[in-house]
Amino acid sequence: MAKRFRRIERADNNPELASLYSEITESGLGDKVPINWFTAQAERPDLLAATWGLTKGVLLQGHLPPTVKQMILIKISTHNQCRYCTALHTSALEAMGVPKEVIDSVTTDLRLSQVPPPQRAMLEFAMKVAREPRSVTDEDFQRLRELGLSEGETMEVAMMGAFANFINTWADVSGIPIEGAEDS
Amino acid sequence: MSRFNQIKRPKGNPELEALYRAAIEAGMEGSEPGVPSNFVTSFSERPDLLASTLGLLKGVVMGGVVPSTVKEMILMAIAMQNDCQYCSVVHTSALEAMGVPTEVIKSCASDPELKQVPPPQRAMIKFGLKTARDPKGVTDEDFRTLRDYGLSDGEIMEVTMLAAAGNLLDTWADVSGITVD
Repeated sequence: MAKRFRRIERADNNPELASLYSEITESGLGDKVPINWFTAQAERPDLLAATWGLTKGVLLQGHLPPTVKQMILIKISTHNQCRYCTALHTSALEAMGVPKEVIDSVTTDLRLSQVPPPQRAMLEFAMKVAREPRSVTDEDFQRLRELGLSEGETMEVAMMGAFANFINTWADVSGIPIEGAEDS
Repeated sequence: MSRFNQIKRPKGNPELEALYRAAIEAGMEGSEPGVPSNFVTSFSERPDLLASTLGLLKGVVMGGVVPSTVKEMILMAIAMQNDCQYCSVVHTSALEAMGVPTEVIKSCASDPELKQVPPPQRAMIKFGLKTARDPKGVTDEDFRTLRDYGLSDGEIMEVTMLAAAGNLLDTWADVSGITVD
């Protein structure tokens, strides 16, 4: 695959980009430089600002536990066969101290047998949202309610499903390499 | 029937009030004067998620450098591809309001060859449709086609992001179960 978008690592000459980059790295999505998912958008700081705002609001903030959110992203990224996002969010979940058998269950076990039932229900709901939103039923909503999720929490699970597809799409079309492993 | 509570007039909730005002100013008014569209009100319970979604809409859909008629055509074609009734109606109305000829709108909605759409726009719509349907299937040749029409990397990026946003908006409309305004 040809390199599709230029990744800019240093934003020194562009104050708008520099301020976005420092916000992103401060949030942990990158070390000295933001992750490739963001630096591939450097040609268009306006688009970067919008996707960063979405990431901050939907992934980094909100009410659901961060581990559940990472599990949702891994589950959907695996389903979409997005290598970049699967690798990135698996590392994030490992860093949160989630046991390896739970992570493996999210990536390879369709029954999610090692994932506790409430989280499993959220993962299954988000998966259905991402794969086939028109097929989500009132019963699917009812199931989350019975597990004690509020309407606002269910909304967040739904948005996480849509967000996972969004990040997978950009990673796949931009053709960005996985950090470290295949960086160029 | 919406699955989520829709507050029409959020008196006493300044955060939601401000977001509603911004949405209406951005052209997202619903059928009732002074009340935003069902898409917006379906977020009533979570102003934070509404703010994030409006930010995406402003930056990727309403802002940018790609002409807004092309963007609406891309969103409409993707809504049809996803069989999202709410979004198909919204984007068809937007194209009509922009004065795009009926035969072009129809071609976008129902002709896989997009015959009535001029070639450069047709290429952008096809790229957007493929991005939304099968992002892993997008090839270097697809990029080259757009570059040959004179699109810059930044413009191609905008088409890509727009397509990804189209799926996100369709997903929300379908899962929330909102009715057409």
